[in-house]
Amino acid sequence: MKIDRIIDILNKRIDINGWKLKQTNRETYEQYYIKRDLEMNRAKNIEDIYLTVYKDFYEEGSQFKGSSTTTIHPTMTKSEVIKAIDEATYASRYAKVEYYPLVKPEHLDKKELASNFKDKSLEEYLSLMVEAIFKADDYKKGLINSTEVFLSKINTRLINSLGIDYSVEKYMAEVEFITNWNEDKEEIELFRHIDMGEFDGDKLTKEVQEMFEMSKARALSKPTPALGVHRVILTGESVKQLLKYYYSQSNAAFVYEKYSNASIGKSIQGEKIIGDKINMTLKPHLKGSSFQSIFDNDGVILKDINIIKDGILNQYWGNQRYSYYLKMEPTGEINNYEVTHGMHSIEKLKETPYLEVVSFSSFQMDEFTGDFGGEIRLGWYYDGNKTIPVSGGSISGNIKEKQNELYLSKEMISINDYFGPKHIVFNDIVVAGN
Amino acid sequence: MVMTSNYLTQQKSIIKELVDRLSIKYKFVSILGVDTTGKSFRVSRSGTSIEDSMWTERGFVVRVYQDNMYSEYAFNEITHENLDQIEQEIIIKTNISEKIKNNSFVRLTKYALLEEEEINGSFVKNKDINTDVLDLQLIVDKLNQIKDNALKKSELLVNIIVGFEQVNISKIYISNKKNLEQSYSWGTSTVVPVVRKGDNNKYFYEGFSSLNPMELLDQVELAYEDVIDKATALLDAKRVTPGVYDVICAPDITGLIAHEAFGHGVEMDMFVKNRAKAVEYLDKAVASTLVTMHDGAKSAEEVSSYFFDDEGTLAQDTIVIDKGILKTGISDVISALRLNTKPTGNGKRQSYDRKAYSRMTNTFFDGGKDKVSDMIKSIEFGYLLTGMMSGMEDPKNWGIQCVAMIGEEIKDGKLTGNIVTPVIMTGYVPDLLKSITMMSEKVELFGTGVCGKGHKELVKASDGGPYIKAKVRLG
Repeated sequence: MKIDRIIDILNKRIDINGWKLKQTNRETYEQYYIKRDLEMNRAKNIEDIYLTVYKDFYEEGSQFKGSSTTTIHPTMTKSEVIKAIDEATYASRYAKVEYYPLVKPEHLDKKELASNFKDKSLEEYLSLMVEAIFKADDYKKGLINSTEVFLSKINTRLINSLGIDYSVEKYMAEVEFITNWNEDKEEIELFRHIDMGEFDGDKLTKEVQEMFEMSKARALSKPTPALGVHRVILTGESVKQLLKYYYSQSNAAFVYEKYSNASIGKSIQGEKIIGDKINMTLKPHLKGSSFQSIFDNDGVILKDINIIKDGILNQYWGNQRYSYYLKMEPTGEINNYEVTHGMHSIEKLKETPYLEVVSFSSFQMDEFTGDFGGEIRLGWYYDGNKTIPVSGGSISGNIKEKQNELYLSKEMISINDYFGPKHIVFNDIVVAGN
Repeated sequence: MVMTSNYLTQQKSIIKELVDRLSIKYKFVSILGVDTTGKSFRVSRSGTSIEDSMWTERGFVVRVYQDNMYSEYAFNEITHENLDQIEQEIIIKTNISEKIKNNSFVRLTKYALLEEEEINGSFVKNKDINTDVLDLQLIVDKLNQIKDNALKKSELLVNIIVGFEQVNISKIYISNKKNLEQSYSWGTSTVVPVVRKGDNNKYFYEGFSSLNPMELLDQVELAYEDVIDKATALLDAKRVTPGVYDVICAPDITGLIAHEAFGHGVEMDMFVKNRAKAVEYLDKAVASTLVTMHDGAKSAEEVSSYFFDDEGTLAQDTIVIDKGILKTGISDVISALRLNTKPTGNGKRQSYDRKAYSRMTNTFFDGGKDKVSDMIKSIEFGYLLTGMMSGMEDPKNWGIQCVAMIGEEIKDGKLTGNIVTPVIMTGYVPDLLKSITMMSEKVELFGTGVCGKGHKELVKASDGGPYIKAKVRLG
């Protein structure tokens, strides 16, 4: 059923107090390679519609909002759509939370997201991505084992009962590849997943080349020594994930649900900070990010928000519901975050012995507890004299115990929804090794 | 009761017509149709949510054979009126362009033509279980009752999230030779208490899964107090001193090891890519002789117990490790074509619009003969590991990353009550599996989680086993 007919049905309902429809149309092309052999090509053209119905009511003197979200398949008949609305309306009686208002329409200044993917067809860009990847596949001892490349154009329309009717077109690209390296003993592999919102062939080629360098190092690596408590440098993806702890702790939902003690105007980084102080800004239009957005799922229009300044929480961020609960202007859900650089260059930070971990099996940052760690797939151990590649073993720690003395590099890195320091240094992290 | 989707039943004639039309151009054509419905309930201190399950979907994927390889197109709008348009879209969108064919960077893989056996069948699991109409009020009342009772138990409890999900899956698979349909359902329930002392936040997680969802609410009710106790104990937990220890793994951790440390490495699309160390160990010892490992949609009645997979291959029970010897991997159809082996019914998709890969279903170790109490008594100093947190595969190099929430200290054969958290297990997979010296009798399976391949392609899977005694590096 077409969306206009669904709106007609909803507008005639007297048993609900509001509704929201999110319609997405995804056009996607995918290619799967083993070495350089195309194993499978895929495409899709999918329309999804998600309906949320709202019901406001009082119970024992308190005002509540009931809501329920259901999927309206494009192949549903009129009677199926009515049944889905009936069921969602019924569920909204039981799915209740403290009252909050729906978002009212505002003027959209920005109607397009920046992306060079709109300059050519999806198929052309897919070919350019594949070329950029395989351009780096030029080593005697190493090769790209396998590659998956996805490129989607997604048109989103958000409509609600108060008059919001926003549309946006965005692009999301994903690349996943495995590099192998063999130094005449055991062949090793490393895995990489990259998300991006615009095409940068040179950057993609460079990322593959870096993976080959890391794969070579892993092939030559020794077991990570049992260092006990040691100075540790995290590099790249793990830095992004670790700093996301502060993003979560600043979230209105985390605060309201009592998962975070963070208070505006107070340090979010603990007491007596002797290392670098964190500065974090949420950027809905961060260049190159596949999470760029003009409005969020509720229809809140997004803009840059500085949430942490010199280690002090400047303001919470949150969706319509939790912002209302905390009596703040809704910032909306913004996925991209930017962190400013630290005081020292990585060269300076590497002057004393360290274990630098550049690849984990899967780095874990628990945004509730602050626990972090993971198995080391590749690290660099500097004992004061020489630097050797190491792998195996693990690091572990808790950010709340270490945050008053962390050091951020001057060097910056862009990883899809993150732009910030490339390295972070802790002086005393537990390292399990052989 | 569990029943086949009316929608899919109504579409079968159109889908069959589309297969026939496309078969004029292509030597192989198959279409998988999916109609999955379900509801997800979540109750916490701040309210209740009832949404469609994240697994809800309705759509189709067509696979065709052209230029000696297979191409796919996924769509979710089909009627008699737009059949011509869909047919043309499939032809255009799956076409391997001249640009790719002439690209000096790439080559085209040459696959054999898939020769399917002729099979017709209609399968419904647990016909007698009523899953088509949920009593929302009953479920919400029960979840709220558990939440309200739980919040009275401890002042340290800042929140408790009680969840319930019920999903009905209907699928059809129609090709030149096969005409299959199936319906089954599963449910899960979870309880996650969040506790806080000062700035210290901790949580624990317990989940239950079943093909009969309504029995899960009672299980949560019976479990929540113990789960709160475990979360509270974590507030005073220490960090483990890194080292190699004797450990007892509870069944959820055994499952994590079976799944993450070993199972991913026997997914045979990894064999095709030369990404699996397991290939070197076929018919060789990879584990203690105590270890026998199964995978298969027919190997257990759990969340991944279907009749046919997403490529129309009938389910089976595969013995992957037999008494310590690696016997075989688990396979999708395309990988089997490349390896000249038989598919094992493990071709699974995240959804109809995603690619099918070799994926695990229900993966577990058989039970042994030991008593858990004897296993604990046998340890001079070590840990009892419980509470599956996360894991990551390393099929090529067999490195382990498995994280448990709780390590309970064992000293002189007794549990001391001292807790460490989180506990990261690392090491080399065969070293761990060969170190297994004791296994308890009872096997438990867990189906509340989802399994990814790399960092995407989430599917339902269950895993488990008995308690095992092993030696492993903790950090």
